Amino acid sequence: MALIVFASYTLMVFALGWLAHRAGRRRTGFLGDYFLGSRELGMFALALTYGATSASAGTFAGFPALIYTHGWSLALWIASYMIFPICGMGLLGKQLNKFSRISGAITLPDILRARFASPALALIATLLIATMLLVYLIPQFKLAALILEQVLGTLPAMHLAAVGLADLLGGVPGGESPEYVLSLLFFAVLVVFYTTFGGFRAVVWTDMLQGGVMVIGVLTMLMLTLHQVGGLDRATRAIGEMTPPRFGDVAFTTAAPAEAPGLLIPVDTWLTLPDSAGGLRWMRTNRSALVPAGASVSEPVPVVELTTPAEVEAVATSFGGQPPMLPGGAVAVAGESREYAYGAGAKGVYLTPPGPSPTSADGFLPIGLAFSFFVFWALSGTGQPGNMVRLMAFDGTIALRRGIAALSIYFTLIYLPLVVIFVCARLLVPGIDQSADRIMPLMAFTLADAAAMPWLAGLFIAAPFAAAMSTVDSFMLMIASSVVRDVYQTHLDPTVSDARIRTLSYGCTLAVGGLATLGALNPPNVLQYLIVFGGGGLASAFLVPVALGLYWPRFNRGGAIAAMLGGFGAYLALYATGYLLTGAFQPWRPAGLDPLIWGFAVSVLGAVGFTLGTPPPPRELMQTFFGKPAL
Amino acid sequence: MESEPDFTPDPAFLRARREAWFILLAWAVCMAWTVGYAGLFGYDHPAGVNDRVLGWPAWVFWGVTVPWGAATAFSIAFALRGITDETPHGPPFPWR
Repeated sequence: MALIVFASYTLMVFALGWLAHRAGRRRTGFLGDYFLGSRELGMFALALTYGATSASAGTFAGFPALIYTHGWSLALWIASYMIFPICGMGLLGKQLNKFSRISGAITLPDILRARFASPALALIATLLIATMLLVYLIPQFKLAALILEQVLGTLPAMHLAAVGLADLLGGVPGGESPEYVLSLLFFAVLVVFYTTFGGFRAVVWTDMLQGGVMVIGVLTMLMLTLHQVGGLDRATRAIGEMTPPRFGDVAFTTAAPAEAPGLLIPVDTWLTLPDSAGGLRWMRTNRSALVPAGASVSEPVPVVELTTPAEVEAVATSFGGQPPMLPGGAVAVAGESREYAYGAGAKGVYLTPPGPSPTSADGFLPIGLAFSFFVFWALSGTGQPGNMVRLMAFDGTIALRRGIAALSIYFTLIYLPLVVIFVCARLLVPGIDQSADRIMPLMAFTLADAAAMPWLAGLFIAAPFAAAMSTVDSFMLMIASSVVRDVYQTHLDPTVSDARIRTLSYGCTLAVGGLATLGALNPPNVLQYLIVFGGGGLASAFLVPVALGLYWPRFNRGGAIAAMLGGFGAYLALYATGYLLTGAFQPWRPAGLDPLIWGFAVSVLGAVGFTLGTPPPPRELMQTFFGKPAL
Repeated sequence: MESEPDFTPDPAFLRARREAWFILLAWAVCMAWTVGYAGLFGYDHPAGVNDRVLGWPAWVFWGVTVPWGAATAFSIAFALRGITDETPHGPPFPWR
């Protein structure tokens, strides 16, 4: 049943892409229609496409994983979204739309080229957009593939097809499961098809569908979650009694060598080991383990050990008070065990900031970082090229104003409920802290099964899938538009025909999708952190030069280039320093502040310093964009 | 600092700039309220299980949920009443 609902959603997406392609073919001016929908976005389209593009895989996988792992602190972490709609759309919307119409710009580099009369600035912008968006795309593809794998992975037909694919390719590229690779290819084909042939119009229409699916999915999950935990008050009291789990790893052994094809101990298997006091330690595997054929021991797999007595009692009761039997008579052998760096053994840590952390002695969200993220979400969201392009496409300020109002309500209905749902998820799905990215699909099936409405899981799964799609399609189109318009048409062949542009646009979009798919074959494990890195990098590069370009007539091309390169350079340098210091993908945070804050600061200094130290822009340029129109 | 060059600014530009400052001010107020409240009543605060309001931890309710409602109300009101409508086109661009 879940599959039918999910498949219905997928078919609707295909249909919208085809319809958009047909609608676009009747239009003249391919580029303006393919990349900007001919500037016809009305209120609902603007709000939903802006909201759906902003809500990505991070919103429905990375963010829930963080909430599940660190508790109510995530309400503070995401709080900036309360003011994001009016910041993102209201700060730049009117001026961006006006500049776009004045200059005939279709892309953000177009506007920069026109405003500053600088092809070099536009080229720098194009390179930054193309590379950072590609980085941002890869975790989105990964998440979508993981979701599909969860939905389809238990089907025999899926398993057969996956094994067949692996045989055809002579193995599975990237080291992931065959089911993951097949899911990734399915997602890639779907999103690349409707984006390539439907263009901006398809992206907006599918964003509207996806926006609707997201909000309906989240609100339904909220109602079911609160019902199943017995109300928010009861849930918060129970979470207040929780202590963080212990992380460890466990290997499995068998008395005799395993027979072909080996002995599989599935992910989410519960097991017990004796403790020093004569009791039992309850653990859950966070990855599947395999005792290979002919061998008697598996590789160690990560496990999560419960430490809260109430949690242990609940799990033990589900097994009738008896230790669970492992498949094939396997025996678990404990490896090392480690406590949380912040909050180990302490009650109440899931209720208050900074929140527990397995790795940081300062907790998840020290106050400096809380300040940084309040700046980050609202202002970095404002500085995203993908969002700016939508502001170039609305059909009038009435659509903008009403779109802001609609988006404010929309984000309230998405983000606060997500915090509630996934804080409560600790009560319904304990022990997956070492693979918390799976919490969204796991909660979907848990809620749907408990409600005896399995078809609901299809709706819940469609929500994060829709979020990933809505972000991926926008970014793919942005990269393609940058290459086709800002590199090829501007620098190589200004008189290129519409037909050739069409072919190039389709080809570029296909190529971008292909590259992202290849990148996701060997996916990163730090999904949310890559998304934060990509978003922060783009905001560091673009927010200050675009905002000052729209509101400061004196701001010139030297200042814009310094702002863009200075902001991005500072941001990248802090990540590089963090990597050199820790060997992990995390930035160095001077004074506890996120690299975005430092990137903004350097960007502003560069903008002001270079602008005031060099001649002003030509008077005619300032008159065109800021002057009173001639009557 | 050099003075601004001599041209007559478009009133639409001046209105847009004024609205942008107002929005930035609203963002700053939200940040001060949310991060400030969390800093005073969330961090290093005894996490009594009785510190709840309608099931939310008290610091979340007063420091996030309530300002979120206020920010949403402000955003809707300002968007519908505070942002002025402008004509959707400008003069032809001479550089193309």
